[in-house]
Amino acid sequence: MRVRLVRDLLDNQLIDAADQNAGKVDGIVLELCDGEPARVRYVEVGPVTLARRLNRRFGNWVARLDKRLGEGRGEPIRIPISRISLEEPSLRVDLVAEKTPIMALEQWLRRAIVSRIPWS
Amino acid sequence: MKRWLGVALGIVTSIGGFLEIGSITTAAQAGAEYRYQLTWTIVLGTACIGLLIEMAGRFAAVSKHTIADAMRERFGIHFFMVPLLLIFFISLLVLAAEIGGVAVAIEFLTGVHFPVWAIPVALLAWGLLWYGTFSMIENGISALGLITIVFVIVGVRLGPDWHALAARLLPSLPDKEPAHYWFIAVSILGASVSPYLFYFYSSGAIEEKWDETHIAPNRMVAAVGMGFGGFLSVAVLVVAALVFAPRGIKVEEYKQLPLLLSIPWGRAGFLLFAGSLFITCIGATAEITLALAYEIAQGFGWNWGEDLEPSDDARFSLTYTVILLASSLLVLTGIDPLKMTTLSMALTSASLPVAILPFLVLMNDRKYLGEHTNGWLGNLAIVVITVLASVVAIVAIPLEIMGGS
Amino acid sequence: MTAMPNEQPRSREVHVEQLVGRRIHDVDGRRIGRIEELIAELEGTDWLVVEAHIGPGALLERIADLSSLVPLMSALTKRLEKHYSLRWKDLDLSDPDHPRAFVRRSDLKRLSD
Repeated sequence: MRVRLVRDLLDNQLIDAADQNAGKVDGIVLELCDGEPARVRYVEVGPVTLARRLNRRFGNWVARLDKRLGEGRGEPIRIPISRISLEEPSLRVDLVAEKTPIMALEQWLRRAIVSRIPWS
Repeated sequence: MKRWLGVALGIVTSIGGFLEIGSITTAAQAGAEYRYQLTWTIVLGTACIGLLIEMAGRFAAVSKHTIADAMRERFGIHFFMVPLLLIFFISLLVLAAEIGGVAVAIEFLTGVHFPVWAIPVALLAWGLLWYGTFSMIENGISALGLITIVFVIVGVRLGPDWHALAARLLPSLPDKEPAHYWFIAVSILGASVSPYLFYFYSSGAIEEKWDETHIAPNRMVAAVGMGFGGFLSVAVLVVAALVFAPRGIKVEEYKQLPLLLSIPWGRAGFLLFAGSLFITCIGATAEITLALAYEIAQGFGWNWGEDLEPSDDARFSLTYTVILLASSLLVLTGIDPLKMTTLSMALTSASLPVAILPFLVLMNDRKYLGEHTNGWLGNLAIVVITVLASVVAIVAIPLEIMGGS
Repeated sequence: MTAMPNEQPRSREVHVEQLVGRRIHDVDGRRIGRIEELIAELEGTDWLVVEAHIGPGALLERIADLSSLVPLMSALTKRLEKHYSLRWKDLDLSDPDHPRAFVRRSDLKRLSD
């Protein structure tokens, strides 16, 4: 089976095991080994990868902001390609986004702001 | 039976949701200064938006993607940023005009100057979005928007020259002040063909879990709903032609707008106008706010949905909160809502090619649409609309400078 | 689970989005075009990158299936000569910012044929 990495993977929507939106594929990481074919290793998700695509300096600034969300933040979020399946209408990833750093900003906003608004 | 009820409801909400401060102001200006001459632009604008809305709905129903979502997927982040930013900032101005419209309606009823109402109106709209559901906003407010049928009743009772009106359904050249004529024409097109409607409509189709069985009802809603909505705009134009034009009243200040109905119907007309403006503008405020939040959330792959609790889509909910706040601050500055409206309509016109051109690609993508891609007629329509939009885009800003109020 | 920062990569990494849009030159230094698409083949659980598609024809192929638009557009896409397929092993990524081909442009497979 042949896959077009840019058309069918990059910038496509990820749906997680709980049927929630888990972001877009913001980056794809290839592993290059001498004498071997290049392998697709990971997809990257999250604001750091996306911002770096637009502009390296902007990406570094976003990474510094992202670090404030908690430990281990400030780096791109990587998902092994083995956990991605090509399905219509969107790509499926076999993890629950809520349990991963993908939802860090969402969870922080929920705690810091949304939960403080009455009857939310 | 349920499907037909859905169609009826869709038509009702399209009619009730069609008018807002942009279409009311531009139709009133057109009628006041050129009588029936600019009717053709409303017809043209309505036809364009009807076609594009049908496509947006069909796209969402079949592909299970929204327009914004698919634009990022198909064109990539760099191409996607261009329409995202352009339409976002222009729509913020349109949103400010709508919030201003609600504030002005309250000023008419209370006598208190409109900027005071900017934050309360934003809070009201925010409350509707935060605590309400999609169907409550879409169906509830838009159904109330049927109050605007008062323009049709007044228009008919004023006894227009039907032959003269019919003759003006086709394009004609102006007999005076051509720059101003074409400026109003461009503004009417900007008021009718608003890009935020594509994002709102395709997102609504996903919120309501449309599928391929909704294709035929969608076509009916787009044609009949938008058609009758355009008819309401024509009614405003006719009323202005019969009430303002003979008296030499030009729509240059927002305080003149209630005269549309208060001259023929006195106090009742005044109250009906204020009520119409309030309801239509609060509806448009909710729609535009959601449309912009949808655009951002879908472009970045977040959870989104008016039917979700804010705690389930915190980024989406806080995005629309910030959008409302930013727009209301613009109204707080006290900029004349009429000027804000005409400027935002001209800028919307200028942005149309960027918003419409992606349709040419998306509506022919078999991966998204399968056998439901556009036929040659649909593609021809997009090409014609894009060419028209490009011409409009080039002349919109110069006309604003030369022929604007 | 998600890869953690302390998992050591075995060898070099390159990002697809870093490559896409980059101009590529052939072994003689002549410009071929921009990398617009990468093709991978699934072999078991491995996704092996086999080809790079280059040129404006490749961009069009990625963005729009114009053959379904109208027959005229189908004829137009066939006329777009600049649509090449480069085998991955013929791609020199020693400097990912300046990719090169190990072959001549004239030896490349034209996808528009």
